[in-house]
Amino acid sequence: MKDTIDQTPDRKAWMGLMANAPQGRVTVLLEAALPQPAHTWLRAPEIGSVIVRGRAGGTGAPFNLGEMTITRCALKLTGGEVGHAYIQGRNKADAEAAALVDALMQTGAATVMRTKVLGPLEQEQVARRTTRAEKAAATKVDFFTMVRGED
Amino acid sequence: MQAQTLEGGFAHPATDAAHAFRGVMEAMARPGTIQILAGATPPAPLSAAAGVALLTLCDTETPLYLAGEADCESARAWVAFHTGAPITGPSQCMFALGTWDALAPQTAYPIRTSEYPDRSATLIVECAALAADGASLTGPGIRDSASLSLPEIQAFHDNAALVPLGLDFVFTSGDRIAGLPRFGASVPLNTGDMACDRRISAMFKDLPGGQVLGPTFDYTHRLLDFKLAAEGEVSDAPTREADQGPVPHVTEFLDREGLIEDAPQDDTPPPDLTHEPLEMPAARADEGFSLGLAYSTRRGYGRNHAFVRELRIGTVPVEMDIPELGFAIEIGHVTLTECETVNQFKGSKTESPQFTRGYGLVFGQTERGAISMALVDRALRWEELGEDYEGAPAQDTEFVVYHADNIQATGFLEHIKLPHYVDFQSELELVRKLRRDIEAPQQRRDAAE
Repeated sequence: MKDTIDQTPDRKAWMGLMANAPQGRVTVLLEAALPQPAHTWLRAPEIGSVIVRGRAGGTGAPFNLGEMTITRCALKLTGGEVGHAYIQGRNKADAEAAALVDALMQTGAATVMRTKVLGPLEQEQVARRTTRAEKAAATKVDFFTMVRGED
Repeated sequence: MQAQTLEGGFAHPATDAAHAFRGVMEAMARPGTIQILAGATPPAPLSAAAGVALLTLCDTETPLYLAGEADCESARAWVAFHTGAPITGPSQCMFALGTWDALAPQTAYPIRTSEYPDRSATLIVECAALAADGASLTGPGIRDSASLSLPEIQAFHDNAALVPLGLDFVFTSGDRIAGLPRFGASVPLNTGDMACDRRISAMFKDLPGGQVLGPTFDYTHRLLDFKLAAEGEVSDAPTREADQGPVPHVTEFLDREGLIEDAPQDDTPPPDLTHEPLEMPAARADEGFSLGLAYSTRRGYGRNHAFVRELRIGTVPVEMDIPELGFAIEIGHVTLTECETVNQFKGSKTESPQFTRGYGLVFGQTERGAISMALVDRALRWEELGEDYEGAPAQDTEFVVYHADNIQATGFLEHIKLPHYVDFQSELELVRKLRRDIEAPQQRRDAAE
């Protein structure tokens, strides 16, 4: 019955990866990887909002910038492993899938999860980021100033 | 964390919470009646009713004080997971839970102020037994009188003498508003981590990392040709190999010489307008309104000559602390536009001449909004910087803040299209009467001639 995850950085990484995935993606990958495991809800999927904060001047006092929507849930597998999900947007199926993956990562199914779900998600995320960055890099410019006779 | 502390919440959150809330409301509205609250199984020593009350009344915005034995690891973990309520001391709390002896003294809790009589603490007192006998109760909500086994009597007499101030006890209160439940707040964004689509500076042409124009129509004249998108003939954007490291702000240039004011990190939590009355300065402005105000500063109304030190558009990860996990995780990402301006400042009695800053940060890809916010931000700071008040609208915090809120402005403006039949009838009557008063002497004069 213990929620024994000691690899916090690892877990942070996969939860963040699933939170940033495009809508529907985690659900599709999980369905393709495994038949859905039995589970009970600790907190059924619910939709809410989170205040997003910025800092004055980028570094100073925090201020409330606005809100974003979040779907979260928590569940327990029959083996007792607890999975949590906090994902951007309003998609309960994705939150459920993300919590299932989080729980399954604590079981013998971890390797399957890594190769069939988290691996592809990571590749897709890297590809998305690279494309964006390369498009931006293509617009990089140099400005030249005419010599004004100062030297 | 024990899975047990994650269990024991409402099995059917919507219906259970509605029943529980009704029960708490009944208990509050009819003092002395005993309601049955069930549906939650909190860890010992919390009672089921106390657990239900916490689930119903507490959330991330209601600091909770756990007194005495109630303050144990399992209770804290359960409260954190199911309600997210921050645990605090008695002087800061909105709710407190414990036995009567553990909660004492009552003077430790916030009572109301006459301006905000809804801000007192509510004490959830755990009793060994609760029965309809003992102290006699009279007052609003009670027909004739009721009886309740109170742990003592004098304390409640003292509290009653404070009306309309004072504490709420046990089976009490709360004002629940329909809407999205708020799970908390993000860790303040670090815009230095932004994956930039665009990043330019109007002040430094040799920006480290380069001037990245991104999707823009700067330097080009562009006529809209609707055929391009309609016929699907949009060519792919060109690409170039990119370095994807973090993109720090262009701060070091002026900071090194102390030529620009500092914005030291400060972790005071910002006030929330939905919970606290508006205090100046604050803004959540409509873009069009900020644009107009910002333009007015450029035209001389509260002039502040601004340079765009840096303007960037991109995505930033949003992190949030998750109490049940005990660490922060990324919960998604947002597209932001950030603008930093630098303004001349002649100095005042206390400050040396230096450059000051204006700051704009907005959701989405809208540099006009970000630049406007930075200009208005700087204009509003005249008092802090000891500048002259010129009576310009952009310098008037009250004017800016109260008229910038799109929701409020729209609501107040658009309600005039809804029925005002009675209002208009009374105005019509008034105008007819005034006309009669003017016309009657005229007619008399005409008749006399």
